[in-house]
Amino acid sequence: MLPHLGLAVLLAAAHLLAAVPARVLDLNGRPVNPLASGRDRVATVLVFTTTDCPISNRYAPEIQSLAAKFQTQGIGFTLVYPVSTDTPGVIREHVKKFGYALPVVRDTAQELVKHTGVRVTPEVAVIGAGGQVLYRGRIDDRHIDFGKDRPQPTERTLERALEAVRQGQPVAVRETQAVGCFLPDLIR
Amino acid sequence: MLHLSRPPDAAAQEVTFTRDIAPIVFKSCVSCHRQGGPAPFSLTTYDEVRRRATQIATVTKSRFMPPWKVEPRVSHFVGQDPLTDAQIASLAAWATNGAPQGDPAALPPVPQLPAGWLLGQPDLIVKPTKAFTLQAQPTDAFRIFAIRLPVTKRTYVRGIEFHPGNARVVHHANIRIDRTPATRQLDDADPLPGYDGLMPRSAEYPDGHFVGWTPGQVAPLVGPDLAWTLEPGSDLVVQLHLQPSGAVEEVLPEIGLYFSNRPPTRTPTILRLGSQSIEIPPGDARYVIRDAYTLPVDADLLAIQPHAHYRAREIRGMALFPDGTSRLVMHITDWDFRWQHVYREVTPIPLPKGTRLSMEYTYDNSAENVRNPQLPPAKVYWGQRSNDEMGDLWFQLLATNDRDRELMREQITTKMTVEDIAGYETMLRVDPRDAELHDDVALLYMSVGQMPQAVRHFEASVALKPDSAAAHFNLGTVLAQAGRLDDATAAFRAALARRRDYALAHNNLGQVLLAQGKTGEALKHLQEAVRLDEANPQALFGLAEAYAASGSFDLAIETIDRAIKLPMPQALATRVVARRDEYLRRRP
Repeated sequence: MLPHLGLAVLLAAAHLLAAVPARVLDLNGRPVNPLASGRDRVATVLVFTTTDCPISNRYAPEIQSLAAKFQTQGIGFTLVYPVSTDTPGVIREHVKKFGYALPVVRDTAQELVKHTGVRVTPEVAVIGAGGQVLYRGRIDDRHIDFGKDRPQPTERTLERALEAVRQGQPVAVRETQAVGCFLPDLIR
Repeated sequence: MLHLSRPPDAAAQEVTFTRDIAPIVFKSCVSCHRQGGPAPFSLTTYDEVRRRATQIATVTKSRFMPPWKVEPRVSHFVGQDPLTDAQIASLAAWATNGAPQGDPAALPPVPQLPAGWLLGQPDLIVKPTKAFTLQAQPTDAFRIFAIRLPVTKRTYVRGIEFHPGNARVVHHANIRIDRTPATRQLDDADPLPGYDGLMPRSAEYPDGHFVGWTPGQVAPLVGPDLAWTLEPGSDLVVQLHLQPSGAVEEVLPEIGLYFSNRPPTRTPTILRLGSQSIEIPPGDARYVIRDAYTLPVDADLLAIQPHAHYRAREIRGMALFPDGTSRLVMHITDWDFRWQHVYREVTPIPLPKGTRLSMEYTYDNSAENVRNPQLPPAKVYWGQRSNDEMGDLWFQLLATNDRDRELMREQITTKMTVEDIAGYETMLRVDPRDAELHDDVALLYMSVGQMPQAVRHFEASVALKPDSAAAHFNLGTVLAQAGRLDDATAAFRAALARRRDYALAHNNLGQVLLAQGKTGEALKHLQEAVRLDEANPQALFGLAEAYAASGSFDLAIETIDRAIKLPMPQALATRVVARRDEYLRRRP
């Protein structure tokens, strides 16, 4: 019952999102639309992160390698920083330290957070070319809870979703629970 | 009665940071979660704590934090200070209600911890010569450093303090002392700082003292009467368990040592119970190992440390007393490789003579064990690498006097050597073609007097490296000790066929021939041994014996006098002097 409800909200939200993400800014303070669809763009992956979240930071190499794998296949990754204390300066340092080579946006009004329904960092949302949320949740199943994680993931959830999207197939599991730093605490 | 009738969330709304939460966090969290502390983030201000309110509520409810793995009623250990259920409920209520700050005036002071060394200024601070660079890799890493200790005379140590240097990635440290160059050689052989591999057997806990580190643990200094001895030339061996942060990280830990100015009066003994024959079938969710030891003397249990890898689930340690009563001395129901504390008793537990200490570990090698590093599960054997399994329970015991300690120490050494042998046999089941494993286990068999087994392994080593003169030499030496003199001479001749100037082989062959009464030939080889290595007292002594056997006592005395001028082990020196007297008496 809950998943249906959640999905309905997400789908409704997706339309709004496609219309106007008005207060999403780049690092120079200019409004940007991370979902602006180029001709070959199949989908966009929004990767929600914060600079001081250890679990999120540990995923940096994995995020970067997934982005490299899918960028040639019409799927672009964008890093989204939703916390206002992550200023452009702090973010520039963070991107450099963790070796990210991805587009970056600040979502300090939490437009993207609200529209996708993410709750923690790191959490990802895959947005289709029509603005619909195709997948939202964890990158993989490495983390089960704080202090409880697998030596390596047994299910690469985001990668599997992106394989489906790339082939024009429906995503089998559209929502999962991510483990990480709680956004409601960070943005209030 | 009045407050019971309030709606529950009215009570919850009253929970504020300054009045209710700060006292909990300041007491139980900030010793690690502070600027410069070993935890990955700081929790010393309202803003820092508010930003993680839900996470704090979650991890305290699951009791992942503060980290403490032992069941609450096992014993009373140093540093054991769990949150109460009421404290956990307050943290949860505060997070649910939006983490209000409350009256700023009510904020208690943040505990002032010294910025540097918690135990005070150390007498010696050491670190690896160069930082290790940890790449932004997906899996955990292990790195062993041999750190030179610049002490020029025998020194007594009351304890150490470990600083991880990079709290983002250093999760815990195993620390040992190596009085031999073995670890240093492995470190030097790796072009990068430290090395990835196994600790040599010679890297040991010093004089029965645990010296490891996990976050949040600073082992108190022991009294001067219990200090451990540091010999010049020893290396501090530090094995770091590193959890990548996602970025490239520099790792340079620092260790402070605290000295005592006088020799100790008492030395503890470490007993290791466990199994090195571990062999867990894939899918087995309840694989059990057990071990036990009965104390031959009275002793105090000072501390206890469990060790296992990822598949261990439940850890039990038990003391069965001579009067038939028993108590759990260790019990962990959700073992986590990453929290390998040393648990020190606040009050040592007296163990009367006849107390049976035992351990029982249960492993889950099924796919249901989320920590299983191999999926689908594979057969897993005993071994030191993190993908292998181990199962040890270490007890730090203090006997009443030196005589009792020596009796117990000898028994324990033999028991642990037998188990070490089992470990080598397990590793050889996995890799029967590893000649070095055969050599190492053969030496262990020799140390417990099991010559036929030692012969078997040196034979295997020779078969694996038939061109190695050293392999034939080793085989000859153990055959000689086993009394198989003809086979021994054949092996020494094989060694010399591969290396003509092998002084030790000439020496040992000469000694065997001498024992066989073949004095003439013995003399030839012993002369050659001395010619090749004039500073070997063994060879000089052997040659002297050969001269004496052939009746040339003057030559024998002249030769043995050359030996006496050289440094040699006490036992040999005693024999040499006694034999010299004998030659003098028998000289015509």
